[in-house]
Amino acid sequence: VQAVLRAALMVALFCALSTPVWPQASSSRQTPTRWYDAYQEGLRAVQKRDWAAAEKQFLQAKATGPQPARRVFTYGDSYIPFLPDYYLGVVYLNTNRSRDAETAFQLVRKQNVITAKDPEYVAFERQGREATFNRAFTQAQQLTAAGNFEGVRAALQEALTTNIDNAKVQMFSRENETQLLAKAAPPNATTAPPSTAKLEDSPVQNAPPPVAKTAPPPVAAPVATNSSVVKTPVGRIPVPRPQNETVKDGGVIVPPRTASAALRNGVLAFFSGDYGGAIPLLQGAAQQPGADPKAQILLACAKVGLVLTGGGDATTLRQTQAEFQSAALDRYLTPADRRFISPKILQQLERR
Amino acid sequence: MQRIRLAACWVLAVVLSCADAAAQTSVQIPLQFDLINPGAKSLAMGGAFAGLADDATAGFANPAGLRELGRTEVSVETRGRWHSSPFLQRGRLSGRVQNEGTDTIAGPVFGESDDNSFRVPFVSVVVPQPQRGWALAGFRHELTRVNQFTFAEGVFFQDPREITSRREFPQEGIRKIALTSYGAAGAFELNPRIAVGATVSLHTFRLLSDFRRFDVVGFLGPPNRSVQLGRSTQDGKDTAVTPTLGIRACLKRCDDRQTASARFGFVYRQGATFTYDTQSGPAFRVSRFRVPNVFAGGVALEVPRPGRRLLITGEIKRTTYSRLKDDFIVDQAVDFQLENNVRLNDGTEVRAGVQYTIETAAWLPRFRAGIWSDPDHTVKYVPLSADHPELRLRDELLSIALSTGRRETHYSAGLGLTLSPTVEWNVGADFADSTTIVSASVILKLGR
Repeated sequence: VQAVLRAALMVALFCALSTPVWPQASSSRQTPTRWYDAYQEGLRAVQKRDWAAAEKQFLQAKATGPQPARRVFTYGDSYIPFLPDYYLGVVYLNTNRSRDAETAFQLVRKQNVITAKDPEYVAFERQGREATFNRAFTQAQQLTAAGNFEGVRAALQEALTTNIDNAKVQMFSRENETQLLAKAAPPNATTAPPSTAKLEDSPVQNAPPPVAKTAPPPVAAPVATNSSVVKTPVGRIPVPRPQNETVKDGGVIVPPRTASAALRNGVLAFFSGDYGGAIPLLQGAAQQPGADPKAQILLACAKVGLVLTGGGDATTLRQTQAEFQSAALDRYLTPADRRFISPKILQQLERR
Repeated sequence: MQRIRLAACWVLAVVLSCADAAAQTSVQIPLQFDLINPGAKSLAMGGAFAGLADDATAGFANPAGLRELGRTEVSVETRGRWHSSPFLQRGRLSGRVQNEGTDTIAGPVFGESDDNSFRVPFVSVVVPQPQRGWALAGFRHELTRVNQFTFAEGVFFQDPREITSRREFPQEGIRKIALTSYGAAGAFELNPRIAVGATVSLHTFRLLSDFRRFDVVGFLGPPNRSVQLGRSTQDGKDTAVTPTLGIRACLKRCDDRQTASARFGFVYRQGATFTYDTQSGPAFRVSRFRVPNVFAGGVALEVPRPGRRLLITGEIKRTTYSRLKDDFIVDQAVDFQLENNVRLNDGTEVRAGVQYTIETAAWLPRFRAGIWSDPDHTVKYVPLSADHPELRLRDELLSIALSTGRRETHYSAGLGLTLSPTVEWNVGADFADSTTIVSASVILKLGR
């Protein structure tokens, strides 16, 4: 007993002597102080799909850690592949920040830390193209909303080069061509179906499958010029009347031109990942008499998205879940909707 | 006439020695008590580990180093040890060789008591909690294992003033010491440059010594092991708890290893105290075995270069071997009233190690080498310088028997390989005149 007491006393004394520096220590206890601890925490958060936490940890690791490399020493003789930019790209990709993701992936390529022989390569190659696709497609949607149908073609062309979802691009392209012709032709003219020959004939249609290991890292395709748009056989395309519903076929969710500006802009903001901006717009759209249930669905999704990206709290999440479930909004969700809304968001909304 | 003289010698020798035979001493059988860090990496780098302490052995070497670890680790070490201790076995220390029976060699002859073992002396688990800034470890460490067997035939000696020789009675000695530690260690980061750590160890102690004196056949003849003249035993089984305290500091952030860095470490390890029983002839007493305290300070300098990395470590370690004198050594000398004539000095070890890492090669090979100077920490005898022939001869006997200790230089080398992101393998060896140690350890890194 004496020995135990003596040992305990010595340890206690030692701890007491260290107390002058404890306040500094305890203040930083919420986050790991070592870059490799932060990085490992980030990897764990990615596994749990906790994107907000992952982003925080990777940013810390990047700020305090060494240059990214395949072999970076942590402690002792241990080393890890240190790829914070790659994982930040993954985080951005999963939080609908395609432009940031694309930038991060470009940085990874510049660092040359993921090559064809590395285990991350297949996923990285796919994610890089996905980021470009999402960014280009979102850009196309924004341009559509702004009425810049010529610019849409270039964005869609770029999206098509990624070979991620050609059907979606083509569907959107048809819509774009239709709207372009509707803009150009007299209201009562009879027109043929929109031509998508320009896009379908694009050489990138025959691009290698996305998972091909030997495929070079995706590069942005040259932006189509205005002259290529002019070459489209506009005169032969019939101009359909604008639809009165949201176009869902092919999974493209674009509010009809007849829809309110609030809904259109809200949807675009939502799919651009700007959840904070989408919420007031969608709220306005959902409160209108005879509002489309999609407005309510996307409003709920935007609220959850905001929470997941660190902009909201658990109370908001619970409240949104309750509203979504009490109104049984899931009955309005189509398989096509599920393709474009983050599974993480839907999972949160449908969680009981 | 010669036969009569021999008979006279034998009678005189027996008469003069009989008192000694009843009161045994084992102090003349040297004991070397080594306190070597666990781990093949540490062994290969000359044990200069207080400043580095960056693996699962840190719980013992310097608990503050545990804070460095970023992943849960399980470490297992196997170690082979070949140690030989010299002891005075036969021969004539003084006087004229009779060239009869066993009295045929002029001068002392030392035998070697071999103590070889192959064991799993160290197992540990480290669980770091980076979010909270601390790490915990549990380990089992066999601090020391001694397994000695000696048999001395009995040396001859003669005082110039006496007409007859004397002979020491043959002695058989068995000495076993097992000291195992179960430690719980924790480290806490005060700031990115400084961490402190503490270990609380529960030690189990087992001592079993048995020294017997035997008669001889005639005066000059071989030992007669069927006639036992005296016996002394030491028997102990005890437990104790002691602390180890450590601190580690870095010149810049400890996790910044991209440029040259320096780390310092200091550790204090308190030795445990155990009780045991001594039975020497009719006398019985309770004594204490006090494990030396250790204070060590070390430095680790790391110099990274493109594709390779050089690590240099140094350590100075002070070990209070003198704690063994009271009561363990004294206990073996007290029956001869020699307790004031034995001494055991504290020792200062100087250690240095180097590691060269080839970062671009497969398995990340790490070549290690080390050197350290081990001070003489065997028991020494301070002669009485008495005028009495019997005491003078005792001086002669013990001075020679306890003269074998000396400072030794150890050379070490080893290799470390990272076989996969989760498995690390290290081998190391330490060579000195009296000891060879070979060690292999496997470290499993769990989780991310």
